[in-house]
Amino acid sequence: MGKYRILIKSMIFTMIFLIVLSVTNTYFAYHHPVTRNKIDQIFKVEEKADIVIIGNSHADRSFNPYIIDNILGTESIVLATPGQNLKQTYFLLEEVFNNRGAELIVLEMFSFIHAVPEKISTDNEHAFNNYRDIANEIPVSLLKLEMVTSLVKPESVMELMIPIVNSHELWKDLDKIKSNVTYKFDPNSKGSVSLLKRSMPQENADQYRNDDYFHEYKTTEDNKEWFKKIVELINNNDAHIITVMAPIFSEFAVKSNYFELIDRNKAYILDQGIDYFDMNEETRIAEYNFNFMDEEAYKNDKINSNQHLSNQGSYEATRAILPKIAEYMGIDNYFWNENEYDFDSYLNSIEKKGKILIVGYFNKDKKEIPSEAFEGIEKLGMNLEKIKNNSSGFNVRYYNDNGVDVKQYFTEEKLDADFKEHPVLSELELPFDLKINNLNNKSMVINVDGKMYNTARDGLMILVYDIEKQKIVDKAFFDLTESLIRFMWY
Amino acid sequence: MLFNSIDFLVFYIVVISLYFLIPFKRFRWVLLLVSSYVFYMWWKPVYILLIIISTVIDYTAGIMMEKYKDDLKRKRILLLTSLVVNLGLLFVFKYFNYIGSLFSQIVNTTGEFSAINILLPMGISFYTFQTLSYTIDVYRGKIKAERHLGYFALYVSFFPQLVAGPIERSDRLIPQLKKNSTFEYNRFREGLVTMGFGFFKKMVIADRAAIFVNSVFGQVDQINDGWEILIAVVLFSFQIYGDFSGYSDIAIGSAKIMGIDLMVNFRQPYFAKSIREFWSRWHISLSTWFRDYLYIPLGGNRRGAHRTYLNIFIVFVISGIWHGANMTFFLWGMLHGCYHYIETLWERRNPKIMELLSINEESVTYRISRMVTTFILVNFAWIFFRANTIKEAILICKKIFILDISRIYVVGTGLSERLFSYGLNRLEMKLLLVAITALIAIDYGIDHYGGIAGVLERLQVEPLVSRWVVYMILIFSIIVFGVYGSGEIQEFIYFQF
Repeated sequence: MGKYRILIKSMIFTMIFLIVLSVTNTYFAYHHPVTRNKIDQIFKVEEKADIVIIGNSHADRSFNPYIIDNILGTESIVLATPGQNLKQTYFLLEEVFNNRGAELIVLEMFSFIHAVPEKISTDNEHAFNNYRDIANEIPVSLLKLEMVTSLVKPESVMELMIPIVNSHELWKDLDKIKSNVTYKFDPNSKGSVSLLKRSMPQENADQYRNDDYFHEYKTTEDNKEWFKKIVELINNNDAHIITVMAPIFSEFAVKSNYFELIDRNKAYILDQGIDYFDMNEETRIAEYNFNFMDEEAYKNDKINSNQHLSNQGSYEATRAILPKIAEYMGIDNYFWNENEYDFDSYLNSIEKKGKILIVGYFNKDKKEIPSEAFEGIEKLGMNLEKIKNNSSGFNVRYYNDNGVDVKQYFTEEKLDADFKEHPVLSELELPFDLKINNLNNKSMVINVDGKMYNTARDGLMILVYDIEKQKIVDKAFFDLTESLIRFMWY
Repeated sequence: MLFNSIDFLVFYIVVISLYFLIPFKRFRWVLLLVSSYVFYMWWKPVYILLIIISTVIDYTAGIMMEKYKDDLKRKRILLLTSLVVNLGLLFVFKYFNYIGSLFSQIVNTTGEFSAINILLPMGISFYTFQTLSYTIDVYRGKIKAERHLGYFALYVSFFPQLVAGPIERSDRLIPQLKKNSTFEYNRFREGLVTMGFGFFKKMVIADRAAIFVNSVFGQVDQINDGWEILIAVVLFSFQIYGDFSGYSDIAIGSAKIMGIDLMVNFRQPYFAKSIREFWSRWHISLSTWFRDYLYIPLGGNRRGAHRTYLNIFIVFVISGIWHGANMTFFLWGMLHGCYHYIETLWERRNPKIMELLSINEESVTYRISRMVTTFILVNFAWIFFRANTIKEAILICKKIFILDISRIYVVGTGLSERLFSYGLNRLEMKLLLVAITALIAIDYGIDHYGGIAGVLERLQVEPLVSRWVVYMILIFSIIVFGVYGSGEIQEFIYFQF
C-alpha cells in the first residue's frame, strides 16, 4: 500500500475520530448549565463587554448586571462561579480579552482569602468538579491546555482535556444527555441567574457557625502571585479594575479573623495601584446606609446561605458599587430610581395615558405570593384568589388618552393561543399581534408583534404598549419571591 | 504500570514513537530495556532488583553451562543454582508466609507464626518461569546461550509480557528482539485492533462483571439461595477470561506494532469441547511450559497409562499451586486433574457408547452439548479458583445446588429485584449481556478465521466506511462503556500471580 495513501487514510480517520470525539464530548460531557451559559458569554457574543464581574460565588450573588445595565446603559456580564479561585479567574479573563474584550473588570476578592491546593485532582471532589465545570466549557486550545496543566495534577489532565474521559458514565443518564442536546445559549442572561430568596433556614445557618468551617481562610503566596498576574493582564489589555469585597455575614468576619486578614492584604492590594472597596469596612457602612455586618442583615433578608446576599442584599450591594462603576465608565448622568424597584412604586409610576398594559403571571410552583403585592395585583385587575390557585394568568388593560381603564380581559386559563381568534380579546381590537405561550409549563412567553418576552421563572411580567408609538415602551418583571424584588430580565 | 491507565497510554505512545524514530536501530534494545525497567518500577521501584538478580544469575548460568557443556556435573550445579535462586525467590515472596502459617497450624505450635511483611512482586511467577525455560533449554542443549547481556535482560523484562505473560521461550523472543523491524502498516493495524479488543474485554466486560462478582462473593453467607451465586460464578468465568485474555491481547498487540510476535495465549477457550481441548486453548504459554519442563521430564506418556495419569495429575496440581498460595488453588488444580482423568477414561469407552446411542460426533447438537458440558465443568472449578477459602468454596457449591425456583418470582424480593442490588443496575446488566454476546460472536469469528489477522483480512473485503465504523465502535465502546474503576483502576486478576 502506498505510503502516502496510508498517511492520508490515517489523517482522515484521525479527523473523523476527533470529530466524533468532539460531538461525544459536547453531549456526553458533564455540563453545568449555569456555568455553561456564563462561559458561553465569552465565546458566543461578539460585542465587547463593558463590565465583567468576576470572582467566586460572592461575586455571583452580589452584583446584579441587569440593574447596572438598566441604569447605566452598559453591557455587563457575570463570570463568577462557586468556588472559583484566582487562578481560574486569571484564565477566564485571558479568554475574555482574547475573544470579547472588556472595559472594566470588577474583581470580587473573597477568593483572595480562600486558599485552595496548588494542584487539584479527583481526590478533592468538590474542587475538581469546579475545575471540570469550567474546563468543559472552554474550547480546545493552547490556553485551555495551559489552564488545565497549571491547575490540576498530571493524572487528571486527560480527564479535563477530553471531558468524556471523566464523564463517560453519563450514557446512563438520559435526562442529562437530553438537557445537553436541548441546551440553548441565552445571551440576555448576562451570565447571572443567581438571585436568592430571603433568609437561610436555621439548620443551614447552624452549620456555618461551626468553628471548623472557618479554618481554610487565609491569603497564600500563591493567591498573591495570581492576583498580581490578573492585575498585569488587565493592565496589558488597557482595561480598568476595581477590587471589591462583597458584604458578608458578621459571624464569619469575627470567627475567621476577617479584619485581620484584610488589614494585611489591603496594603498589598493598594500597592498594585488599584482601587479596593471593602463593603464590610465599618467606616463605610454609614455612607451607604446599610449594614451587612450585624444580625439585622440576617434577619432582614439581606444575607442568605453561606454569607451570600439575597435578592434584597444584592440590590443594595449593586446600588453601593454603582457609583464606582459609573466613575470608571465615565458615566456622569445616571439615575437610580428607587421607585422602579419596588412593586407598588413601579405600578404607581406607570404613565397609563394612551397605553395598553399586558400583564402575565406565571406561578408554576404555586408559590405563596407576598402580601405586599396583593394590592398592586388587584390594581392590575387580576383576581387575586384565582392567581393564588392557578399556574398562569393573563390580563390586558386598555387605557384611553385620559388614562382611564376602558376595556380589559382577564383569564386564568392555561394559555397557548393566538388572541386574534380569541372571542373576547378580539373585541379589544388590539393594535398589535399578540400570542401567549406556556413553554412546556416551564415559563410564559408573551409575543407582541413577533418579539418575545419570556418570564423564564415564576413571577409577574408587565409590558407597557404605547398606542401612538406602536411599540412596547416599558417592561418589568417581578420575581414571585417573598420580597417581590424586581428582576431585571431584559 | 497498568495497561488500562492514562499513564500507560502516554508511556506507550512515547516508547513506540522513539522506537521507530530512533536513528541507531542497533541500540533499540537500550530503549526497550530502559522502558521495560521504567514500566516495572512504576509500581514499586525496589523490586526491579529481583528481576536484575534473575537476569544476572541466569545469564551467567547460561554462559557457564555452555562453557562446560561436556561437564555434566558442573552443568547440573549451574542449573541447580538457577533453579534454587529463581524458585527460591518465588517461594519466599509467594509461598513462605502461607506455608509457614499452615505448618504452624498443623504442628499446633504455641505462639504465632511470624510472617514476613513483604508485597508479592508483580509478575514474579511469569518472569521466573520465563527465565527458567531459558536455563533449562541451554542445559538441554536445545538453544545456545545468549552472549549479549542487554538482549538477555530485555528478554527477561520485555514490558508487554513482563507481568502477566504470555510466557515466552528465548528461542522465539530473543531473535525477534534482535531483528530491526521497520514500521509496517498492516502490523500496526493488527496490533492496534488486538490491543483494542483486549481493552474491550478488560474494561467493558471483565471490570463490569467484577463489580457483580465481588459483591456476591463478598456476602455469600448472607445470600439465601443459589441463583445470584450461580450467575456470579458464570459471570466470573467471563470476568477472568476477559481480564486475562484481555491483558494478553494488549501485550500481543503492543508487541506486534513493534514487529515482535508474542505467542497466542488464549484461543477461544470456552469453545472447547473437552477439558483437554480447554487446556490447549487456555493460558497456552503456561500449559506448554508445564508440558515441556515438567510433564515430559516426569516421563510424559512414555511410561504406561498409570504413570501418564499420575504425571498429568501432578502437572495440574502444581499448575494450581503456581496460581497462588492457597489450598483453593490446589483443589482447583486437582479438580482439573480429575476431570482429565475421567475424560481419558470416557474417551476409551466413548466410541462404544456413541455407537450404541447412534450419536454422530460431527453433529452440531453433539458438539454444542460437549461445549456446554465443558463450560459447566470449567465453571464449577472456577468456584475454587475464586473462593477465598475452602469453606467458602464448599458453601458456594452447596448454595448453587439449592435453587429455589419459587424465589425467582417473589414480589418485592424476587430475583429480578435482587439481581440489580449487587452493584450493577438493570442498564449495566443489559450492557454486560450485550458485551458478552458480542465477545462470543467476535471469538467465533476469530476461531473461524484463524485469529484476529484472519478477521481483519475478512474485514478488508468490506467497504472502507464499514471497516471504519467497526473501529470507531470499538474505540468508543471502550471510552464510553469501559469501567474506569471507582476512583482506582481495576487491576488485572493475574497480577497477583
